[in-house]
Amino acid sequence: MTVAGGTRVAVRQRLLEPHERAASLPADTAALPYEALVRGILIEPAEVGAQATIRTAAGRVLMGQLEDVEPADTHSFGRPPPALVAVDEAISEVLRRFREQP
Amino acid sequence: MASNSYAAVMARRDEILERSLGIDYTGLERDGGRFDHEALMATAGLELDGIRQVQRDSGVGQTPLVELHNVTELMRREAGHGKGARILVKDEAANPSGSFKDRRASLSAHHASRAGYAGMIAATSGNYGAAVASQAAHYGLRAIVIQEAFDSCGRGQPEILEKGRKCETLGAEVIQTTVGPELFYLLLRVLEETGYFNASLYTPFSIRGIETLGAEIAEDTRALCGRDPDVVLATHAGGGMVTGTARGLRAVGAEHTRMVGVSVDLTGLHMASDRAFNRKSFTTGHSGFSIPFTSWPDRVDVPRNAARPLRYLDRFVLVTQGEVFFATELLARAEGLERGPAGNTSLAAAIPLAAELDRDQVLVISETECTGAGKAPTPQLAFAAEMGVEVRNGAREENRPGEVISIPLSLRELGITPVDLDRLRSSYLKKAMAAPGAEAPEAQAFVAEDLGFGVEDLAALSA
Repeated sequence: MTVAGGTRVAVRQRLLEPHERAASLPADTAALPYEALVRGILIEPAEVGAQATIRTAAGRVLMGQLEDVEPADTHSFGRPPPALVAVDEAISEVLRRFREQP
Repeated sequence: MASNSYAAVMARRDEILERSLGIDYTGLERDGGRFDHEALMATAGLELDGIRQVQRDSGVGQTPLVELHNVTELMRREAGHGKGARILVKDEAANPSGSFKDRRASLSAHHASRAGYAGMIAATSGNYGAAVASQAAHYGLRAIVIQEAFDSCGRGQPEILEKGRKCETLGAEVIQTTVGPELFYLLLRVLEETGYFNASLYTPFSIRGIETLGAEIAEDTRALCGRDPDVVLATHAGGGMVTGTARGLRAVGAEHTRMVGVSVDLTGLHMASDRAFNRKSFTTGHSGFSIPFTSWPDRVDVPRNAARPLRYLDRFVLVTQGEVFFATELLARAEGLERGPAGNTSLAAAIPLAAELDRDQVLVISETECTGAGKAPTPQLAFAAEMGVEVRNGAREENRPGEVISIPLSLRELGITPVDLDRLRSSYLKKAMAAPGAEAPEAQAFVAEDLGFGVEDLAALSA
């Protein structure tokens, strides 16, 4: 898919290969490359998955693999876990008794 | 063009730091592994009144001190006869970007602007990123925030993602990395490339910016309670809040206030592990930072850490993740304050600690922080469960970092785990004595001061 210049995208940069990383990392981390994701405005049309150049919010121009188009913030308030609901119920009950017998 | 290999960039560390900070750390070094701490603090270029002025101009500080009447009363019902100090909290969520970190960013931004830097950079997954972005916006500087954000499956803790979103909303560029201590390497690279100011959390600008918090706590408590706070609780990680708050208290004459550091207990989780990364629900204020930073403060991203927690700590305690979530729900429902949860670490410890004190005493919690999507207990616990962490109700002892979050159901189940400060002092002393010339009297005096006691105590500690 070709993405038009001027689109807000995220690019991935591979900064260090596993063998280039810091010494004395735990084994799980040491086996992985060190990478970064940066969002910015695509300067010229590019293919998803190909190298692309962006201008970041700080005005830097940098290149990386085009990973996401119009990236979204999808974190939310989520579904309350039962253990938290139980805490809220317990606190509400204590407060109800507290307010009845100050 | 200079090489960007890990080794090459790290080899340029000193020159990059000097250019990006404008502080001559080398000139502050003394024989025997010492350095001139007060001279370092003076490089901030402002004293308390000047710091207050800078912060007032950018909307930072002067936050409300709120008495937690209902929490205090609930705690007193469980406390012994005549026991149960008044609990108050400094509502630092009222700062421009929603946490006390605005105080830390304010002097950096003020200085960076006056010194002619075009922008500033911080490497942080915490609230500090938003503070840097916010203060940079105020001064018309560019900002770059580097966050350790994703594990190798591309999963990010919702709290960190929310902080990243906030930085972008405030106009900053956000670089989100995979797990690893190479965050520092990347920071150096970007500092070198841009020539921006290094808004490290551990410079004199950052630490002295917190002094207003301690001063306001003393002044507000005097106005509200007619006495100095007996105890101030500060969430403890790199030592900044403990150091800055304690210095501010002393600066306005609150000499007898005891400073207690509180961290979330994450014992056993490796901080550089890709697997462990998303199995903790707190990104800072936890033992993974506070224990190593207290026993050796200079393991930071600047040559010398302006925060020296052992100088100022009277007591250091740990609470569990589950207790902090309980305290967060209690604060919301009993007091109508939806905050945190990470900023409520001290609140969790405040309840059992206030129960030890007399009723006429006053305990102040040094901060709240803003909450929101991703940050609130619900998304954090839902994410923990997705990562295979068991989230259940139970005793504090049942918490197992990375495996079980056990949330108590009542206030009387809250407790604290003491950290032996002398054990941390011994660890510091062992490293300090390895420096050439460490036996000299001046070096010994420095070490004693850095450990928060007299030279005569050093012998007892080494014994």
